[in-house]
This record gives sequence, structure tokens and C-alpha cells, in this order.
Amino acid sequence: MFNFDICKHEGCKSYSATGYDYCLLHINESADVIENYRKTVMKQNLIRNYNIEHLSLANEDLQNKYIIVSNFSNSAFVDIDFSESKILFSLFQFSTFKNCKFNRTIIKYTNFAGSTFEGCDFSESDIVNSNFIGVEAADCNFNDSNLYYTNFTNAALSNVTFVDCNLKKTDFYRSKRDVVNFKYSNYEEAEFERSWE
Amino acid sequence: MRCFYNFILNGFSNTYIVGPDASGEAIIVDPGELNIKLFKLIEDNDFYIKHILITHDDSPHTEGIRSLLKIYDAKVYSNSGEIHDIKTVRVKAGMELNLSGFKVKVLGVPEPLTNSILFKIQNILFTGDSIGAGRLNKKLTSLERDKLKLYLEKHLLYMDNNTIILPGHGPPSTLKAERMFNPDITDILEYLPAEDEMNRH
Ligand SMILES: [Zn+2]
Repeated sequence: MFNFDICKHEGCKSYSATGYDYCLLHINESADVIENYRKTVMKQNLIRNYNIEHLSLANEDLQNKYIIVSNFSNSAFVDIDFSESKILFSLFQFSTFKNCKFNRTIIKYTNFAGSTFEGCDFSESDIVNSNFIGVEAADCNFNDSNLYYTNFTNAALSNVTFVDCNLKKTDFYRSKRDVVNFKYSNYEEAEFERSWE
Repeated sequence: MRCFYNFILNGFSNTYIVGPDASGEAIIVDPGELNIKLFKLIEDNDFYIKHILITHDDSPHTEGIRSLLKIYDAKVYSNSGEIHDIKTVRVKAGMELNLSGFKVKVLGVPEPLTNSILFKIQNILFTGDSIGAGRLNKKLTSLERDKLKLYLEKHLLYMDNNTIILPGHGPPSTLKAERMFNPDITDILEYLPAEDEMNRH
């Protein structure tokens, strides 16, 4: 599961990368070794119990992966195709996603809090009981997806579409929504206010 | 230290195992049932369950105790003293346990969650049904919520930001994300003095 050892670099609070005493920012290895490590992990179909914060990935095909109980927080993903992947009980907090595809993915119990999404496509996905609190999303699409009990509290959404989605118990409390389209979705079953207020 | 996660269909709850890097005696937190996957997780890692920690006495978090005790000679720790007619080691907030070499801090939660405790092992906080990712894991009345706020203010909010929160239900999180975006917690922070100001007193 997650690694609970803190990076040994003085003052660093990140968790160390699986198999190393340091996080990727402070690892004392050559660029080749790090690149090789990154490639070896991402080549696997089952990415399980990995801890790799500060990962930087671009132009990778990560379709049909099964990512489970892993921590990829504080990372950057550009032009990554996660389509048809299953992502379960993982952390992708405070990361950036640019032009990534998440088509027909199954995302459950996964936490993207504080991340930024730009031009990402989540259409036809099952994104259940997952967490997008405090995310900033621009030009993204969640169309034809099931977002049951997924949490967008405090999210800033700009030009984001939720067309024909299941929004039962989807939480948009205190979210900022600028040009957000809920067409054909059951947004009346989503939550925009807290009942105790 | 290694920590594993298992999803339990009973109440859609989370069960966790904490064990040593190699084989040896391990801790299980909130066993909602003992299913094949969980049993394999224990056995494949050569763990022997010696300690069963219960955050609160509720079926999705306790149904697996009896089956575990048939296989492992383990002690159960809770704050109720008895669960399903099984005597437990009664633990209280503020206690620090040493379980097979793991230091376990017991934290308490006030009314209305009196039957709930939290466990902290290294940088992980097992929150049971108290704090979930992005929200409290229980619908509270406003009075109950205020009481919980006071508690959070006193005990939780000065832990390290990288503390990983492993709740009884739903996704994992970190204290950093909860402090920044969980509205139940950000509301409290608004009324809190800055950390250096706290230290001065
Ligand atoms: Zn580091």
C-alpha cells in the first residue's frame, strides 16, 4: 500500500518513492535510472501499492491499467491516455493533468483533491465515491458518466460539461461554476447546499 | 511498516492491515468481515493478526472479529469493553499502546461519536466514521457538529500536513487536503489563531 516513510532529504515532507529512501525530487540517481524506474512501473498492467510523488509523465499510453492503492500526489500528467483504466483507492492530490483522456474509466475511492485539470476528457466513465474537492478544472468533459457520491466541494469549474450524467449525491457544495452544463443530468439529485445551514 | 487496504461489502467499509516490512505480527483495523481477499492479504504477506483495533462498535467495522479470533490468537481493542459478547481491551483517548513494536496513539472523539475513537500509527490516522475525505463521515446536527469542531481544533489540526487519513468509508486523503478544502474543517480554521501564535502561549 502507500509508503509511510518520509523522504530522507532534510526538510522534505514528501513520502519516499517505492524502493528508495528519497522522493523523486531528491533521489540521488542519474536521470537514466529514474527514467528507467518510471518506465518499469508504468509498463505494468497492475500498478499496485506504489508510492511515487512528484512524478512527471508526458505522452504516455496508460490505457487499460489497473491502478490500485497507490499514491501519485504532487505529480504532472500531460497528454496521458488513461482510457479504460481502473483506478481504485489511490491518491492523486495536488497534481496537474493537461489534455489527459479518462474515457470509459472506472474510478472508485480515489482522491484528486487540490489538483488542476485542463482539457481533460472523462466521458463515459464510472467515477464513484471519489474526491475532486478544491480542484480547478477548465475545458473538461464528464459527459455520459456516473458520478454517484463524488465530491466537487470547493472546486472551481470553468467550461466543464456534465451532460447526461448520474449526479445522484454528487456534491457541488461551495463550488464555483462558470459555464457548467448539466443538460439531461439529474442535477436536482446533486447537492449544492449543506442541510445544516 | 506496511499497510494494506481491503474493501468490505458489508456497509461499503474499509478494513486496513498494518504489518512489519517482513513477515510477523500485524494489526487489523475495523474488520467489517473476513472475506477471502482479506484472508489472502494476511496470509500472502506472512502476517499473524495479533491485534484488532475497533474505531467504533458498528457492524460494518466489527463483523469480522469473530472469524479472525477463530484463526488468530488476537486481542481486540475498543473503547466499549465488549463487542458481540467478546471482551475487549478498553482503550481511551490519550493512551499510547505498543503493539508488536508499533506505537499506536489513541485519540478520542466527543459526543455524538462517543463510541468512536481514532488510531494514529506513524503518519497514518485511522478515522473510522469521523472524518472522511472532503466531509465528515456522518450526518450531524448543528450542535453535534459544533462539538466535533471543538475537538478537531484541539487535537487534529496541528498534526503534520502529510498525515494520511484512512477513513472507515470512502477514499483516503491527507490532512493537508482536508485542512484546505473540507468545508467542515476550513470553517473551524477561520476561527483558529495562527500556529506560531498558539506556540507563544
Ligand atoms: Zn524529497
